[in-house]
Amino acid sequence: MTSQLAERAAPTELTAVTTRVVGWRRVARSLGHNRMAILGLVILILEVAVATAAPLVAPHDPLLQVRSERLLGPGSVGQESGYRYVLGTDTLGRDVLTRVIYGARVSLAIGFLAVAISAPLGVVLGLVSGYYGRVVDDVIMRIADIQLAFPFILLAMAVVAVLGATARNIVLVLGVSGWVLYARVVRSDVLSLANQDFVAAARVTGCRDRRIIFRHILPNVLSPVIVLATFAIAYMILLESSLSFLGLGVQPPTPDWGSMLNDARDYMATAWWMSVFPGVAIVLTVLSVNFVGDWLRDLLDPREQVL
Amino acid sequence: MISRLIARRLVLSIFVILGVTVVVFVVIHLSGDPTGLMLPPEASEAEIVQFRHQMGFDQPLFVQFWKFFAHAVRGDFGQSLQYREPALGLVLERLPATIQLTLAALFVAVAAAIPLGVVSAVKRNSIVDNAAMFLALFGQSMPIFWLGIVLILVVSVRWQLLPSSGAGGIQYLILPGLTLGLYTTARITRLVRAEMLEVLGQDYLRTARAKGLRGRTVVWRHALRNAMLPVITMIGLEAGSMLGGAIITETVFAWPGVGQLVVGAIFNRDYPVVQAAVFTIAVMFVLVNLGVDILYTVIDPRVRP
Amino acid sequence: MGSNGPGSGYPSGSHTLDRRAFLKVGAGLGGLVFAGPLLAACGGTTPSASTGKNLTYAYAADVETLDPLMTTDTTTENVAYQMFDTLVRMGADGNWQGELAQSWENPDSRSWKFHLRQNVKFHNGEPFNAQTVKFSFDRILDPKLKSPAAPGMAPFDHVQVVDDATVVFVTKDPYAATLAQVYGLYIVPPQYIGQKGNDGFAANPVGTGPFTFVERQKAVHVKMQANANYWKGKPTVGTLTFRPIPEDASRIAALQNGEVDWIAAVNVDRVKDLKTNSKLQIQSRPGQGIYGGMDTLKFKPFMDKRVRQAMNYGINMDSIVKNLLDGLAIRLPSALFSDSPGFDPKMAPYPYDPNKAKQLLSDAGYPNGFEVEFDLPVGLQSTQKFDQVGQAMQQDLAKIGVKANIKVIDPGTAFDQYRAGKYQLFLYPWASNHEAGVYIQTLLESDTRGYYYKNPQADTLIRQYMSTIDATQRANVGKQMNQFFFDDCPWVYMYQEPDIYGYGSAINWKPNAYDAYFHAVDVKFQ
Repeated sequence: MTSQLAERAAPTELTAVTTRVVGWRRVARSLGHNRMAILGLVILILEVAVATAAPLVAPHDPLLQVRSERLLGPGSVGQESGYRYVLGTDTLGRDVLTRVIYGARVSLAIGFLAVAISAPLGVVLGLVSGYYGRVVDDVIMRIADIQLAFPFILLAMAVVAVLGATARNIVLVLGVSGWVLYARVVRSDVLSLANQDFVAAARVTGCRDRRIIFRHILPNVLSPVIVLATFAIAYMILLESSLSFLGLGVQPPTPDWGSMLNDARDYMATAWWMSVFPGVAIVLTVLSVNFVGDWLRDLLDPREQVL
Repeated sequence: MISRLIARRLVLSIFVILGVTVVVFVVIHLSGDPTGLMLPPEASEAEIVQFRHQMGFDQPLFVQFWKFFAHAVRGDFGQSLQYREPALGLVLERLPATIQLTLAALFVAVAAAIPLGVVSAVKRNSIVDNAAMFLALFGQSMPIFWLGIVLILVVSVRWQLLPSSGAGGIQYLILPGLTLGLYTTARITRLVRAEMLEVLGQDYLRTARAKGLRGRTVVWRHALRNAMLPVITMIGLEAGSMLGGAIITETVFAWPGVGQLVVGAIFNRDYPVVQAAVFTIAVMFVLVNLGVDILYTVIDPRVRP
Repeated sequence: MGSNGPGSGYPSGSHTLDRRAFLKVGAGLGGLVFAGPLLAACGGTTPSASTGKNLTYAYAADVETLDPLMTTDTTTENVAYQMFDTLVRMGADGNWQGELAQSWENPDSRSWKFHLRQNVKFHNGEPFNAQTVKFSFDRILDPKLKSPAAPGMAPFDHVQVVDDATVVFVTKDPYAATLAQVYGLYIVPPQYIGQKGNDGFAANPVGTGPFTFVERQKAVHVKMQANANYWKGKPTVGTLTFRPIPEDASRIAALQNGEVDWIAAVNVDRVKDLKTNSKLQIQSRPGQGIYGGMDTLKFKPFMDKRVRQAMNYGINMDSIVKNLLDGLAIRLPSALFSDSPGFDPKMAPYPYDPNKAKQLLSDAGYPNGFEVEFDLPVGLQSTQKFDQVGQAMQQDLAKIGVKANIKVIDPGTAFDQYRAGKYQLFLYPWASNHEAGVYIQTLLESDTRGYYYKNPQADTLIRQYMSTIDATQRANVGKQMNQFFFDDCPWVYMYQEPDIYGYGSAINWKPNAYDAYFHAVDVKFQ
């Protein structure tokens, strides 16, 4: 993480080098070099735009069932209604394209929000745990163990049974269950870093703990966190799909990629469009998020700054 | 040093297992009792009340917990309400199948991911790298049940290569192992690559190369070793979560493991089985963690135990 | 991560996890992984070679226990019926036929006298007789066993042994559904259970049935073998294997592959494409009855009969049956199922008339409709399509101004809430086994449960229906009762969903429209 060059510098100058100084010009230049990241950003922005403008963009009503026109293939035209179903219809005769568009709202929101809860929570706990060590570390890690040893569905069922299966509660469950990975990875990084000379040097010069943690250690442990977080967004969307598999996901008839995939389970051999299109939406999202995440990691890696 | 580590961790582990047990007990009792699921649908209100009383479901939570705990410390988790057999026995019976599945999945993941990740890092931005990364991304964007069903439809029904579900010889393990392991493979590949890239850029490695050590030695002996720590963290975490979470794979492939048992028990409110299963999983999880931590200190002595 | 501090040089090699060590560990793990299944394949006994064909059948769930008197679970019973017999059985013509009982009569309205078959033996050689019948009955009610099947025997007062070949069941009150409950009384061997104990019996069950027990691997299979000494003659099927396959798509795949020969619970939407497969047969029978329950006691709108009728007029149930269930479901006009005494096939259900529905609502004081919570109990593996049907109903209701908010609940929580009277509008299934009248009593009679509906007139009719033993009279009472329920509308009347089976073309078997249970002894091969 820190190069020898940086370590040989005087302690007071460490802050300038190891702090994350990212000017906007640097960002733009770095982005310009990375075509995949641009593609990823574009796709994500498009998805968010489409999701926000869903009522304007979608051809039909996502809840409208035309019972006699169910399970029609892509490109079909409904006999009774005259609607054109670009991506086909599902088992209740609803337009798949429309539901994928509206589904973006719920799925993207769940994915981002769940990570927005679990990542900061995990990072902070990991930092504290790794830096202070001893009792604090033990307590936090034991709580982590207890939570990890706790089957996820039990936790999900508990929340759902007591509080109801709303999208908000699902985000809560996903968020609370996800912090441990970040905490552990951050902690293991901090454990090796905290021993190093530059930290001791910072302490000797009188830096307060919090400053050390947030200005010196944090930037150096962020890279793996960013990588993990980008995956986590997609993982959260998939996890919601697993909750649907168990009957604990987003309530019908709300469209959502995860539950659409689950509804399509029995129809994969006969109505492939029901699962492929929400699946493609998820894959696109994952790819884009990952390209952006890769770029971010390259951008933030301190080594690259110095050299 | 290691023995002190083990001793301390064991003490803490007991605390963890106890914590899990209590929390699970409270949670599952809060969600209701299995009377409605066990009695025939035509049972009258009076019969329902009588059954609940007979089984002790109407007693206060604290009393029920005390009864359970007094037996549990002696290894008796009670009788399964659904199967009418000792709960712990049921869990232990099914555990080997899940461990087998988990090991198969981890084996696939590690055997594929580490070489792939290393090669990707070493040959950064080459075709191999890009291909591997794309594959990894796809592997991480499919829900397990989707992947499982696709594999069944293609490999089993279409190509008639492998059985679609069940257990028996090794041919039954392949599809479920692949299904469960693909996600982890992708994850570990990416992590290995990321860590290797970090480490490969280190100055001391340049020094080593400058000294004339062969590239491969540098890579395998030094870079890989130092990249392993977070990878081991992840493997340990994945193993722990797989143990408790092979549920979907086991359901799709009718694999007779603990995952299926636990889910059924949770939905059927089979308290003794849930308690026994969660206890067992917690114990295994703690052991895996301990192993991972020991491995840490072995690999990197600088890490405080 | 893991970088070295300046000046410390690179770490020494004493603690290296080098390539060799890694490969060793990997090989060890790999060995463990592959050894396991090989070992598993070695376990278990192989049944002795039997002439006759093999049949593997699959359900969605696993058996809970092999002790047939300790369960109320349908799948478990579908395995129990292969190894155990009962006194009577429901025939394909809708009449009860004698199994272990050759004939029966009613000396009085509370007594049922069964004349038992002679020279029947259990698989261990023990003789079947009246004492074993009484033993089986008493065993279910044994308080030490806490059998969940005990409430099924509640209508009976006691069982009396007259002689070795005659036994009398005495009911507390005249009970028309007696034979249905007797159909659930599996006859078990007292001597064998005495020797082996309850656990031993459950581990190695012995009955009088057409198949004997060979082995069981939990969640994998139950293997059975033809009973050469079966009193009906040796069954055609030689080796019978039961396999649980929870996932619908996997179960169908196994059938298509030939890995199993017979499956239950085929999804309605797969019927069309499976029928094009010449190697398969797809047959259905009327299955569970589904009804839409309404809280007529506490939820204000439903307390008014007009609103309830509006709910029936306002939902296009025919279109739901035609489109969502491929026309394979049987539309029920009122509370009785299609195989219940008193069901009139000519009775017309509520027609779809949204205007009339809106009129009724406005007459009752809800011109703008109302909001209601709509609970759908959805099991982990359920082919009932409640989630789809519920959404379809929701859309129809919206058109008449009723805003139904769907809540999907798992069955465990669902039952508690149902019992506590928390539901407003909900879907509920009921098995059509044996005697559907039993559910009428449970769900609509005030005393039995009375969570959502209490009506003294209904009570009188129900009690009459359940205590009239003469078949013709009972049918008349049933008709009357059904008409009453049609008018009073405690439920949204829906349909009986199809029980769909898929099996190989070589199998000569048809489902019994009146009996939900599978009897492998009936299977022949063409």
